[in-house]
Amino acid sequence: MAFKYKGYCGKILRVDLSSGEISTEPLSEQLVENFIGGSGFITKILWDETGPETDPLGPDNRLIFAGGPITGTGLPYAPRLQVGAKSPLTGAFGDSSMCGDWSPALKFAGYDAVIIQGASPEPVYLWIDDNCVEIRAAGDLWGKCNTEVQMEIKDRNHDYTIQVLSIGPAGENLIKYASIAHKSRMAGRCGLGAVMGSKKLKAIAVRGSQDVRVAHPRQFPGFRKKFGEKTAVHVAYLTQYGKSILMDWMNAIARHPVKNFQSGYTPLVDKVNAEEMLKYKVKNRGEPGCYGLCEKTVCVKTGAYKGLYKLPEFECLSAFGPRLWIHDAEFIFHASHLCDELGMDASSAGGTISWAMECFEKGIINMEDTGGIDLSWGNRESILTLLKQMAGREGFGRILAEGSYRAAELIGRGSDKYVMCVKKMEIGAQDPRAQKAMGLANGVSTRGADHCKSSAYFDESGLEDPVIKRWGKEYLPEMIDPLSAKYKPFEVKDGEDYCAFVSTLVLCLNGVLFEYYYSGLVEALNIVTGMTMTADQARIIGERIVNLQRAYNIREGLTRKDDGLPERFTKTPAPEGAAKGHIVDMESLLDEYYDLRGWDKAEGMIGVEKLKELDLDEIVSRD
Amino acid sequence: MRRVLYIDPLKCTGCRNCEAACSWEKEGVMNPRKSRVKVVRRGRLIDEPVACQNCSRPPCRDACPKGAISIEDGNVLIDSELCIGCGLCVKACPFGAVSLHPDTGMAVTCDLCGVCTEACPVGELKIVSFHEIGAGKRWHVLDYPVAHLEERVMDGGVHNGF
Repeated sequence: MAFKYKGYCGKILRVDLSSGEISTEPLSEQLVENFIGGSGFITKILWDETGPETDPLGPDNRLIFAGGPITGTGLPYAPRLQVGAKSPLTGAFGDSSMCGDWSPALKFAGYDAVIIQGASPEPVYLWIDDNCVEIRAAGDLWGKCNTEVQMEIKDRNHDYTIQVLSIGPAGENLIKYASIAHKSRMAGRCGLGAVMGSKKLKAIAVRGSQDVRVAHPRQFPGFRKKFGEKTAVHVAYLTQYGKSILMDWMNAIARHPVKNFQSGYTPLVDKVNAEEMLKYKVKNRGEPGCYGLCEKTVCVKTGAYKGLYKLPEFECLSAFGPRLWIHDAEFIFHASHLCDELGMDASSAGGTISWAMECFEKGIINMEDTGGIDLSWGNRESILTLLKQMAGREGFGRILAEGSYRAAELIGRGSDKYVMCVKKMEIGAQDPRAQKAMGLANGVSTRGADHCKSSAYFDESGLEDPVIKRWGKEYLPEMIDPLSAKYKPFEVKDGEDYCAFVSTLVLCLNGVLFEYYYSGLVEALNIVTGMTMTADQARIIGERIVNLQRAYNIREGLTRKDDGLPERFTKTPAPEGAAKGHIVDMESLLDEYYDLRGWDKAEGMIGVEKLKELDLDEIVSRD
Repeated sequence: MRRVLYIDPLKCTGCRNCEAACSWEKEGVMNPRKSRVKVVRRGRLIDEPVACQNCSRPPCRDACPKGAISIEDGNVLIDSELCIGCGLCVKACPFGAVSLHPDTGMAVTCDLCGVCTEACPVGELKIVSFHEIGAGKRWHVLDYPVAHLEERVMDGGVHNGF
């Protein structure tokens, strides 16, 4: 019997790697109606099946992969995957997402989500081919880097259409910020690759022959085309520059994490800006159904870093660039590629190295601590050596593999002063002093330091029209001024709810953020599923998911103090550039944000009325 | 006139919008296995939508035991009334451009309806003749020398070579 709503397969695959048991569960209508899919499924399942007693690297953690109802329909911006687990890096709610062919392939195989539990005694990979699901030996794949593993599995099974996601050596060695890779895309944050490694799961291969259906198939092709065309002006910059243009824009507002956030501005930006990087561009690339075409292939023709690479995303350009005082585009391509192949999150890997480099600069660690590696700013060979050591847990990498927060605990000597984390996860390329909204966003994001959950890009971009369109003229000019704190708790709260909803469908935020709001997205959801959801109902769902993630963290013991920022941002004025003299008044931002959320100001607990409003009062019992 | 689906493999982004458009147009569902055009990605450089090349001496026509494949006005057609779904055409095609429909088992290929060309976000996927493909290449192979020779002539004097 077909599932009540179109777009869904109606089945969840559960694999227990301890017992070897493979089972399917019918998708619950109630889960769909309250949580839609993707991030919503992950939030609810993690709430139900994990908790304070769950060891993130133990067999009881759940590793969940989920697309949404729109995944696999071919709608632009839809081929995305959400991954979730209790994070070994933060010890709290963890999730990450990626684009690509894998998520649609899971739908073609007939599953709305995969839940992995237990742990295999030996390395394995999971094979999903429509109804045929097998746990296969992966001893000969263990130790290999991501591209090699994925190609090997396709070759061995004689089918290039097989889609594979995998972990590299970093995931196998349980590096706290290990990532999960699929082609050139990564689910980077929160150390989900380590969860996969702890289960000795090297890869998941999937292919399928089934249809993805929509409720209104005659309307859908025209809707599909219009949906993409309407965003054309907003994504044009992606097609032209990828994310390299952010190197320019973020320097203009002094938001770069230069030398571990000692400054937000680099005078050498023209060596690593868009113009410089585009000299290497060969072509654009896109994922299924996409109009943004954000990916680029670049070619370095000569020199030490000769090769063909993907143009890294901005976070990676930054993490291996000005953050480490590197102003060499070719090196950044190469280091980012190495990090991807070893399977580590660029923000955390680069962030941990930048912590170590500042400690080295300040004389807190020396060559004896590092085993002879010179951690002067900008030392390229040292960075490459460290990346390999971190992935292999060797030498100084043994300490760095734990992430900068825990590494500082191991080193002591006051090194914690230079840890730039929230909830033990490294802050990415957003100096909070230069964009107050990002300070708040990083502080309150449920998965630890993060900017995507709120996507506070209205003041990042400084564009007036999206603000007028979404909220109205009265929010100008402060809403688009990154240095102003006014309206920013609102921007973050509104963004978090909206992005949570977007992450259930699952759509790309870069594609839909400025053109669409709830009404545009429910139109898509309704055409696909046959639901009759309203914009207000969608808003409640987004808010529900954010609150349930918050409740998860509260249950883990997190409180207001865990929403704080490192003192560098709240006490040390930005030294130069557009943000010169600024600090973040985090306490005021948090007060206003908690008010908007209906949470108590003292500890950030969710009020009972808010739980009832979101139909979470039965799910979240008050102890 | 014989025409084919064509895009420069360095311009194709591998975005599979053409597959989506084909699947929805022909089948009313999304299923890449039902699309008549199939995008292949190799390494970091090559993306190509593979579809029937409308060969002048089609191996699929010669292989078909039921005479179900013919050429009409330069385009290869498969008669689904005659097709028995044996798959010999799939084996014979050097491009892998013929597939057996997952539901009916009948052989299908691209019929040049053109819906995919409207869906290409870079506007480079086209239905063209081989004359047009050659002409385009001849024109563009001189882009670099044209730009630079014109500049140098305008500066004063004609120089040898480029």
